[in-house]
Amino acid sequence: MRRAAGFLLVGTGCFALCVAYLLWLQVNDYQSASMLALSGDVVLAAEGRTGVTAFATAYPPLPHLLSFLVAYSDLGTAMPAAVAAALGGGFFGASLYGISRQAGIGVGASLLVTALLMANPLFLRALAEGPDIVLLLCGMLMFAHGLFGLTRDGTVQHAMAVAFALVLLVFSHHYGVLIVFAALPFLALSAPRELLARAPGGLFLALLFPIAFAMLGFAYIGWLFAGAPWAFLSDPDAAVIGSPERTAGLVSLLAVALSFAVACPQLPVLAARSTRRRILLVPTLALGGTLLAAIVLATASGSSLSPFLLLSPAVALAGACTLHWPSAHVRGTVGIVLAVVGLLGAGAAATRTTDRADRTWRADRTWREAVLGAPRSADEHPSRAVARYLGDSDGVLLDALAHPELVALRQTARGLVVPSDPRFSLALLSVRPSEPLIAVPAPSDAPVTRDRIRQAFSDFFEEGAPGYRVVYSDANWQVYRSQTITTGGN
Amino acid sequence: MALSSTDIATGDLLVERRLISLVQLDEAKELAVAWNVRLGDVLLARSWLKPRQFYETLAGNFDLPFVDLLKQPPDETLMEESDAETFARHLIVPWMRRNGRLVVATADPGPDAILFARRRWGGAFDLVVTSKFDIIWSLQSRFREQQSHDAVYQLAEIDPDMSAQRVVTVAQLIAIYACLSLVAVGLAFAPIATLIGINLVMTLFYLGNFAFKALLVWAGGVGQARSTQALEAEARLLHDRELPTYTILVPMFREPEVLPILANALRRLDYPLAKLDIKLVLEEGDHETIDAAKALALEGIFEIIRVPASQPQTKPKACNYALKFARGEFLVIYDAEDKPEPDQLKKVVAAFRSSPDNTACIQCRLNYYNARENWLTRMFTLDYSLWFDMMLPGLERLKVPIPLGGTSNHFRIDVLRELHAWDPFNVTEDADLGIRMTQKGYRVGVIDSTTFEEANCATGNWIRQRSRWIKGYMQTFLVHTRRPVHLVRSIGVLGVIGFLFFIGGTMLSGLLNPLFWLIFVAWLVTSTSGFDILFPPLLLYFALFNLLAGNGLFIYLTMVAPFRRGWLELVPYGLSVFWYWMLTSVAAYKALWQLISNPFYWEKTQHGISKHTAIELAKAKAESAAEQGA
Repeated sequence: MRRAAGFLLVGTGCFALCVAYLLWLQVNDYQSASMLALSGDVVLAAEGRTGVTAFATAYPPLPHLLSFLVAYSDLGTAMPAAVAAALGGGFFGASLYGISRQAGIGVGASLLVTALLMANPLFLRALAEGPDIVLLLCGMLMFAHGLFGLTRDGTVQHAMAVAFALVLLVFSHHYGVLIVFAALPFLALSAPRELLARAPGGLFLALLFPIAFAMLGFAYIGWLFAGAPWAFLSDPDAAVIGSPERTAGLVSLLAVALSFAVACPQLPVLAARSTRRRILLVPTLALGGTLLAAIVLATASGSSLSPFLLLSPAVALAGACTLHWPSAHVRGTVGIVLAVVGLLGAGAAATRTTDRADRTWRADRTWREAVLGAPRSADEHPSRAVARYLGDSDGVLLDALAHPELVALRQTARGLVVPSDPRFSLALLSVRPSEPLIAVPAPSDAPVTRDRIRQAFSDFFEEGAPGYRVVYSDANWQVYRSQTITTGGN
Repeated sequence: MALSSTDIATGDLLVERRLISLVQLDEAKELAVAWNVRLGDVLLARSWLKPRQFYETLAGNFDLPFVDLLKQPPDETLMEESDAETFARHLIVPWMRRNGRLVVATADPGPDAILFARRRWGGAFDLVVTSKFDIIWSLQSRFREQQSHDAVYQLAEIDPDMSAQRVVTVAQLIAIYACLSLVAVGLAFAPIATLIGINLVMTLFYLGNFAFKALLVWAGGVGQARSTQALEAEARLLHDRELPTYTILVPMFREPEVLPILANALRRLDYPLAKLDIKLVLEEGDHETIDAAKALALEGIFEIIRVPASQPQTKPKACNYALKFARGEFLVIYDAEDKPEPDQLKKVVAAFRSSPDNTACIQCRLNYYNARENWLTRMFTLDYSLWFDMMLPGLERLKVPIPLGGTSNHFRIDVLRELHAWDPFNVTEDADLGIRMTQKGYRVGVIDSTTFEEANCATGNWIRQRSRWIKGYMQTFLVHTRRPVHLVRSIGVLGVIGFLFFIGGTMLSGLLNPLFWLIFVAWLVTSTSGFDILFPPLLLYFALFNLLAGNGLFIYLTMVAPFRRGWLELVPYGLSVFWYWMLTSVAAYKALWQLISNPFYWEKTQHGISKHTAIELAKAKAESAAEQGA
C-alpha cells in the first residue's frame, strides 16, 4: 500500500512538473508539429467530427487513445496531446522511482535519480514532441528492465515484461517498429542460455506472440473499419519508412552516436564495469546495440524524427542501467553521479549539435530556443497565421483530417465544415462550394496530396472559384470568402 | 530425547524372541530418538515384524494379556459415538466388564493410557493390550451406521446454508424466475434495447473476467521466487523430532492398478515414516482394490478404511468417514496416482508455522507427469500450470477466496473437524471447502511444492472429469451466493468480485463462449448487417477489445504458463487453446444438464489409462522389489 501511495505521489509530482515545462514552451510559442496534429485529431474525435473509422484505425493507437480520453474528459484544455504527454511523463517518472525503490535505493536518492533523468535534455525533448515519444520511452524502460531480468532469472514475469514492452513500443510510435526490428537479434543474444538451448522456438514465441497478435489485431481493425488492414504501415503521417530525401548523412549519424555516449554514460560505464558478469554485460550491450541499430535503421530509411528524438530512448536505458548497477550499496550514489554527467553531456550535445544548419537538426534547434526563451530562428508552424485569421469563424470549408493542426491552433472544430459533414461531401460532389469561407493549402504543402478540397478543385489555390475572393494569403494557405454568403466572424 | 524405559525393555524382548535383529534394534532406536516417536512406531513403519508379533511382545513386556478384538469384539454398550474420535486418537477402547471392573484395551500401554483411562472411567479398570488395527476396526464396526450417516449429513444438518444438498433455495428460485421474467418482458416490449442490454452485461462480464485474471497473474508473480526460497530454507531447518503426526487420506475407487505408484511415492516422502498416518479410503464393496491393497503387504503406517455403502457415493463422503479415524495434527488428501515432491510435507509444516494463526489450509501445486503424451495432456498441463502456478498465488496475494484443487490440500485437522469437513453433495467439495474456510474467517495459503498426477489423455474421459468440475463450481456458486450480504461481510468486496469472476467466470465463460463464437462466425461468413443493431459504437469497441485483447491475453497466458517449470517446448501448443476451450464448453453444457437432472452424480474419472502410468507402475514395482530384496 505504501509502495502504491509513493508511486502515485511521485507520479503526480512528475505530472505537475511536466505540465509546467510544457506551459513554459507554450508561452514561448513552441508546440511540436506532431503534438498539434495529434491534438487536432482528438479534438475532432471528441467533438464528434470524425467517423469511427478514422479514430479506430488511427496509428499509433496508444497516444491517440490517451489523448482522446483527455479530450473527452473535457479538462478544458485545447491541447489534449500535451496533457497526455504530461501524463506519460508522470508515469515514466513514477516508474523510474518505483524501480529505484525496488532496487534498494533510498527514497531521497530515488527521487534525485528520477529528477535528474527527467531533467535530461533528451527526455525534455521527447516530452515536448508529444505523448507518442513519451510512451515510447515508457516502453523502452519496460523493455530494458525486462531484458535485464530475463537474462538474470529467466522468469515468466520478465519474459512477459519484454513481450508487452514490444507491444508498447510498436503501438506508441512508428519509431517503435524500428526499435523492435533492431531488437530481434539482440533478444536472441540476451535470452538465458539454458532456455534457448531447451526450446528456442518456444522462447521466441513467448516473447513475440503479443506483438504479432497485436499487429494482426490492429490489421483486423483496419480491415473491419476501412477495408485496408495494413494501411497503418503506409500512413504518411506515421509511416515506418520515411521518404528517401529525409535520409540523414553519415555526419549526422556520427553526431548522434557521439551524443549517445555523452548523454547516456550509464550504459558504457555499466558495460565496462561488468566485463566479467555475463548477466549484466549481455543485456547492457544488447540494449545499446538495439538503440544504435534502430537509429541506423531510422536514418537509413529517412525517418522524419529529429536526431535528438531518435536518441531520446537512451534516457530509459540510462535509468534501467542505473537500477541494475551490480553493487547495491552504491547504486544510489552511482546513479546520481552518472545522471548528473548524462545531464551535462546531453546539455552540451544540445548546445553544440543543434547549432548545425543541417535540415535534420532544425526541429531540435527551435525546441532548444524555446526552452531557453531565446528568439526563434524559424517558425515550424506554417498554419499558425491562418489559424489565427480563421479564429472563431463560422462555415469554413476545410479538410481538417488532412490539417488537424489547424483545429488544434483554433482550439476547436466548431465553425468548420469537415469531411465527416454531409455539407463537405456535397460541396465536393457538386463541385460548387456553398460555404462562406474556404481554406486551401498551397501545392507545396506536404499533406496537400491528401487534402480533399485540393483534390476536388485542383486550381483553387491559384485561381479561386467563381463568386469567391481571396481574403487571406500566405506562402502556405489561401482563404477565400464567398461574395454572396455571409459568416459569423472576420 | 532418550528412549523410554518401556521402549528399551520392549526392544530387548523383541531381540530376545528373535523377532528383530540387533542391528535392526539399534537402527530403530536411533530413528525413534531422532524422530521423537515410540520404538514400536519405527519398527512397524519399517515392516520389520508383523503388528501382531509386536503387540504381543508389548503385552508381554507389561505383563498384560493380549486380546484379539476381531475374535472378541468390545461390548457395544460401553461406547458412545461421540467418543469414537477420541478413542481412535488415543488408541484405546473400553472392552468389557469383568468381575465388576471395566477392562480397557489399548494399543499404546503406558502412563498416558492409564492417565486417560483414569480420567475417563475412574480407578476401577484393568488394562489389556490389542493392536492398533483392532481398535480402528472395532470402532468402525461399532459406529458404522452412525458415522456413515454423519459422513453424509453432518454438514447439511448442522450448517444447512453451506450444504449443496439443496441445489437452489426458494429465494434463489424466485430471483432466477424474476430475472427470466424481466428479460421476457423486455423482449416483448423493447426487444432491441433488451438484447443490447444483455449484450452489454455479457461484454462487461468478459471484460471483467479477463482483466481480473490478468491481475491475478501479475499479482501472483510478484515476489514469488523470494518466498519459494525462504520456504525451502525454513523447511530444511526443521528437525524431524519437531514434526507432528501427519494424516494422509487416499480415497480410491476401483483403482487397484495404481496402488504401487502411490505406495512408492509415499515411502519416498522426506518425513519420518513413523509419523505418517496413511489411510487408504476404500468403498467396502470395492473388493478388487481392497484385495490389491492387502496383497501389497504394506507397512504398518498404511491403514485401510472401508467406507460403508450409501448415497451419494462420492469422494467427500469417503473422506468425511475416514476423518473420524485420523490421528494427525495435519491432514492431506492425495489421489491414488499422485506423486508429491518428497519435501512437500516439511514445506507445509514450515508454511503453517510461518503463516498467520488463522491459516487452515495450504494448497500445493498440481501438475502432470505425462504432460507430453498427446495433445490433450499437453493442453491440460498448460491449463494446470496457468491455474496453479500463476493464478492461485495471485488469489492468495489479493486475499480472494481460493477454490482448493482436487488433491494436495493440507489441512489443520482441528479446523477441518470444526467446519464439518467436506460437503458430500458437492462434486467439487475441495473448491467449496476453500471458499467456506474463507467465509468462516480462515485463510488458505499456497506454496511452491508440486504433486505430479496423471493427466487425462482420452477426450471422453476428460469431458466427464471437466463436466464434474464445472458442475461442482456451479454448486459452489449457488451455495455461497445464497446469502449475498453475508458473503460480502465475510469475504469483503474484493473477495466477492474475485469469487464471482474466478468461480462464476470459469463456469459461465464455458457456457457463453459458443454463443459469441456462433455470432462471430455467422457474421464473418455471411457479412450480414443483422447484428449491427446489437452493437452500438461504444459496445462495439468493448466487444472488439474483448475479442482481440481478451482472447490474445488468454492465449498468451496459456502459452507462458509452463515457463516457470522450463517446459518451453509446450509453449507453441498454447496457440491451439481455442480447441481446448471448445471441449470445455462441451463439458460446461454437460455439467449444466447434469446439475438439473442429476446434481449429486459423481462422474468417475478413469485413472491408470496413460501409457506413462504403466511405466510408472513398472518402475514402482521394480523399486519395491529391490527394497524388499535389500
